[in-house]
Amino acid sequence: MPLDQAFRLSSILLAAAGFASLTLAIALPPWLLVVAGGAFTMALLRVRHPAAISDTMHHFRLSALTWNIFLLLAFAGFWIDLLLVSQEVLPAGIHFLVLLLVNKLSNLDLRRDFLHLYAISLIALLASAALTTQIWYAPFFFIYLIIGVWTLLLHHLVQEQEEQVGLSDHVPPATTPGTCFPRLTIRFFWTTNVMAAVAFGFTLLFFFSIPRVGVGFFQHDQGESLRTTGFSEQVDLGVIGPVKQDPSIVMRVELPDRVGHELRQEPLYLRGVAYNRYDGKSWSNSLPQRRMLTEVPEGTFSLRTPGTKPQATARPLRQDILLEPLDTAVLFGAPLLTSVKGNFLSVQSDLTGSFHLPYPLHTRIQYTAYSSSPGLNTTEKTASALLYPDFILRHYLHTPDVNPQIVDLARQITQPATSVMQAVSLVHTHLLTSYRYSLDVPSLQSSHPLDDFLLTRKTGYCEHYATAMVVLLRTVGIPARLVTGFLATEWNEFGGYYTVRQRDAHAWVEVYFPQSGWLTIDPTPPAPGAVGPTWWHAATSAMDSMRLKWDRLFVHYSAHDQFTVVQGIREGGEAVRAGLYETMSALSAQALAIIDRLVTNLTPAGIPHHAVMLLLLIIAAYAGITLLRRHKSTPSRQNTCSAQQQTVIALYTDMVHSCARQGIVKPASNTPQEFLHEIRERWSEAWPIVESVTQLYARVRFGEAPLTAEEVTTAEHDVRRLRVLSRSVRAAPRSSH
Amino acid sequence: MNSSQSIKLLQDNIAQVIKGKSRVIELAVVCLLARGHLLIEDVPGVGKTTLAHSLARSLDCSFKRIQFTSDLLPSDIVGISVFNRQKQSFEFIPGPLFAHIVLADEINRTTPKTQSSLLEAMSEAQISVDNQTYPLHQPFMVIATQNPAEYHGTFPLPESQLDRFLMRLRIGYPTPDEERKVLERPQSLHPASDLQPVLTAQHILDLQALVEKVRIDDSLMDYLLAIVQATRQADVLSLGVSTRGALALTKAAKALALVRDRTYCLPEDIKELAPAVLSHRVMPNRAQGARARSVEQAEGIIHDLLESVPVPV
Repeated sequence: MPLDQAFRLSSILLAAAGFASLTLAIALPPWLLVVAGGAFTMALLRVRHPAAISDTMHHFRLSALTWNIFLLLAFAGFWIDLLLVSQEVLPAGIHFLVLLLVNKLSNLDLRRDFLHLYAISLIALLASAALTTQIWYAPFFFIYLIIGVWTLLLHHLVQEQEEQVGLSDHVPPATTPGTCFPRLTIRFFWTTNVMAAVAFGFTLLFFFSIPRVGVGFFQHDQGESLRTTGFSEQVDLGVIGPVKQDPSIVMRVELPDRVGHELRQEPLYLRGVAYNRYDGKSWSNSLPQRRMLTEVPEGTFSLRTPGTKPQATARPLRQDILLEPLDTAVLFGAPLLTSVKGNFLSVQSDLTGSFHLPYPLHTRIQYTAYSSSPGLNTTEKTASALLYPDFILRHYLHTPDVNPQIVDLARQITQPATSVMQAVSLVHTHLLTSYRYSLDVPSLQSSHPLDDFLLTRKTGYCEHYATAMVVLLRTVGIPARLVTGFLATEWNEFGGYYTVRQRDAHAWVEVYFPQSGWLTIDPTPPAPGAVGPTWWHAATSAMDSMRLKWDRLFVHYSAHDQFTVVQGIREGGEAVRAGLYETMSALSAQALAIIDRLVTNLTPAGIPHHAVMLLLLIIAAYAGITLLRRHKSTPSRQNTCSAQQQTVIALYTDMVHSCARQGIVKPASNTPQEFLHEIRERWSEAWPIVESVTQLYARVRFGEAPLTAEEVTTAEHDVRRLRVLSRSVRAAPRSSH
Repeated sequence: MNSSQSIKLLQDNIAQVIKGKSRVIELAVVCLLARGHLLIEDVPGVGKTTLAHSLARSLDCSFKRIQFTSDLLPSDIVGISVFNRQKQSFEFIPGPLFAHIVLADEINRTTPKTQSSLLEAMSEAQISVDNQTYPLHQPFMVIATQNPAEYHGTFPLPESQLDRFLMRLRIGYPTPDEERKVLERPQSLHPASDLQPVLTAQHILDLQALVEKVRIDDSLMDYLLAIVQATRQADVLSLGVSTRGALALTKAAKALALVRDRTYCLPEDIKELAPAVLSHRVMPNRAQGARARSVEQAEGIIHDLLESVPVPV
């Protein structure tokens, strides 16, 4: 492709990359999209068919004055936009920017216009970076970088060529840019792409090593919270049902302390809020009092859950949770939360063991939760009766006016029980076996939803099951409460975390045991018809894992992470340095010993060793200085050559190297013709090739003849043939003279 | 007729007489085109004078021959002022120097005084007699022949005089085959006498103007200067090449490029011409032996120096 064309094309592509990232970051008005698209199309057409378009478009080309008026109008429009329409700086500025882009695209004539175009595209890219934290920004950034490297190199080449043409006016018209040397090979693109990749590597390096101020500075479009159900003050029975189809992601949970396959075996309960009061239709919390948790150092808010004894059991379960923006302030965690660690100002907890933020956050938050799940005390496992504290009896045994049939049912179920625990498991088993799971339940219509579930329909979902179990247990005097949260079952094998979606919303039961505390029991049978893993599932989970990594590594890359990285590098560096130091000291000790022995052996008796050593040092220093000076005094006049001369010089040197491989070395004082003569005598097969290359070289190198692309191709081909020849044929023995 | 054709014609014309010496002929033509003067030094009887004759005959311009002898005086060469009785004034009678081509035969047989009378003519193409300056014809070329210094009855040319010759040539013996051709030629006439002129003086002036336009790359300038510098720093030489010598090499290289039908110089041009252009301008050390000023030795030294100077790539 001719240089000039490639340069224009690459400039326009650069602008297009910047513009594309902008359109994805902010919703532009359609008319602006149309105008910009038209400008891009026209610019591209002008590149491909410069003559045709300029002829046909000659009448339509607007004058400079028109464009100036257009720009003034656009500027006025910017103020109107800012003050009246969008009333925000960023969108108004971006609209103005797009108009500037259109202007520049339509007037790409001077070198200056191209530079303006680059500046505009760079601003567009930066603006979209400020507007978004989405992962799609990464590919656009990379594309922009690659095209940017192309464009800058081409810009430089074009400029250099123009300077050359401008300087040498006496060059015959045959050397116009079109026919002359410049052309692009595929190698150009490889080189530039490698350069871009290297630049990208450096970018990453800087990204991870230079401190930053914050994240999502202008990010406000992302603040749309997901609407959740089941975590408010009062929850009507049957509200979870409608969300059981919603696949939007609520959070992602990693269990860093657990490894390997043990993760996937069991579903993870993520507890949200507990309710203790049921009025026949809805659940509420009669204990809304909250207290602030004290912050122990490093942002950890710890709690001893009211009603539980401090656990002396094994380590708490650690969960790293990335919570999407929700409309609730609840912090989720596996039962039962003991502490959370995150970048929070304060954390509150209520008497049911739920953690809350003071208000819902409208950004994605990341925190670490620690939970310890109580096991059932062995004595309580078999106890036939338990003594409950007053507080528990007061708040966790209340039942609404329950249908006598349900009371009968409860008694009937727990009849054979000999212990409290057995009664609980009998109720559990009864619910699991006698009822059918179905989401197809008319919600919020029945006045007695529990009666419907337990006695007539016998189908329902988690809320029904859980409510039924709580009511049944309370009827027979066992304190229990309803808990809402999520049941994480979807394991992302690519990223190694649970993906929790809206449809994973769940409700289950906690039963109280005086010594063991609250025990989690889920009376709901598993939902039927679980979807098997398909390729689609795999693809989405891979995508989701990538998105999480993007978020973790780039968007939420914090100073603490940076510190960790730096520390890791420093520790690695220390190790390397220590290793090097050891090797070096060992080597230098050996070298010193050798020198010492040498000096001892060399020194005639009577002369002190130090004198000899000093002498050696002086000689070494002198040799070093001499070498340095000689190196410096070599004149370098390579830079006076033009690009074409460089090309033929490179070709010729290449050829000489090939001949040297064949055993025919060109002495520095030999002229090309002498060398050619030598070739004729000693390697006659190669002579025609060497001759043609030498001719070209002499003509261009010393005659400054114009070099055409075909000549270069032919010469390159010749040199390649010579290389092949030098590999296949043995050199003729050196002639006697 | 373009430049290469006319040069070819000239060379071919001379080659009719001087058999098997195309290189010498080429150098003589180079000397002519570079506005230089030619010194032909060799043993008697190898065709020095014939070469000069042939060159002069091939050009349609005036030609004078001066046989240098030990009693030749400067006024015999440049001319003399004679009192004209009718006009009652001195009148300048031009000498044989007033010609396009002057053959100074056996120049080292005359005294240094007479030899020096050529200095102004050769460097400035003019002569001064009695406070009067007379320009010489253009083109003007002195072709001098001489026998090697150690032959009897010779006065060696002073350095300043030698420096004014663009190049010094040796002709050398012809090969037996070539020599046979010379012998088989009819001996009745002087071989050069039946040569027809092929170029006019104007042709030569045009060609000389073309030489000025030949391109010489910066790197070649560096190469040339490196060679000159090498002669000045060489231990085996007590006198290196002067700036005039460097200038002469540049001019000669350009002329050779034109002769070989190029518009630009190549490293070959310089390397090939260096022995002929530089060898008579350098003075080997006394330590180099009795034949201190022999042509072969000086040329050998220049050859050796050339092998130590890298050719630009």
